Amino acid sequence: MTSIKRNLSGATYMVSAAILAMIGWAVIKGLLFFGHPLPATMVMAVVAGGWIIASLVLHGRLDEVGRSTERFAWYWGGGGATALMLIWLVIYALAGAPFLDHVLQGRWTPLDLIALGALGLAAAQVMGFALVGVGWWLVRR
Amino acid sequence: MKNRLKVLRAERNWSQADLAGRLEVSRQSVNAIETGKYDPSLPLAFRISKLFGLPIEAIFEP
Repeated sequence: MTSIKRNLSGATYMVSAAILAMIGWAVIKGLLFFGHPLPATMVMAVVAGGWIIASLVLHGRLDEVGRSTERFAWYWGGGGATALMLIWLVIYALAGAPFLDHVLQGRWTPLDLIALGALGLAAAQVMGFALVGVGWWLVRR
Repeated sequence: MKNRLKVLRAERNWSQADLAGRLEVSRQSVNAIETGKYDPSLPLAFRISKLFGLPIEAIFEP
């Protein structure tokens, strides 16, 4: 029989969700600021590494309801955000990608754009995860 | 799934936090189980059964 660990408090969930959302936004802003693949990749690697370590630490402290919340949030929040992002990208592309030239100002290489797209998708997944996770917790607390 | 967790806990004058501590889960988890918003896993159901000294079917019913 597996041991059941103490769950994290609701406040911890809230703070974690807020931090994750801020990190996602900060990484996007960082990538926009750097505008070059190498520093952007380094930032992404550092953030991803910190993220993985934090996730493992947090996951180890969850009880079964917390882990159920986590699975639910990744499935519906992360998956839902991915679906919405892809739909939005199709609509945006079909509309001729308005304002893109103004935002990028012609300084971006194709590799930058690919990195930005990947990062945007990852950020959307994390934000979806955070939103659904907090919602799940609010309903069942 | 319905359960008698709240009644059994009240009979022992335990708060949700007390029960949570004995089961090594969070108070929120106890509340979610009591209100039927979360069905516990079999290992946790066995822990609850052992704690109250009752068979699982005397605590939970489908």
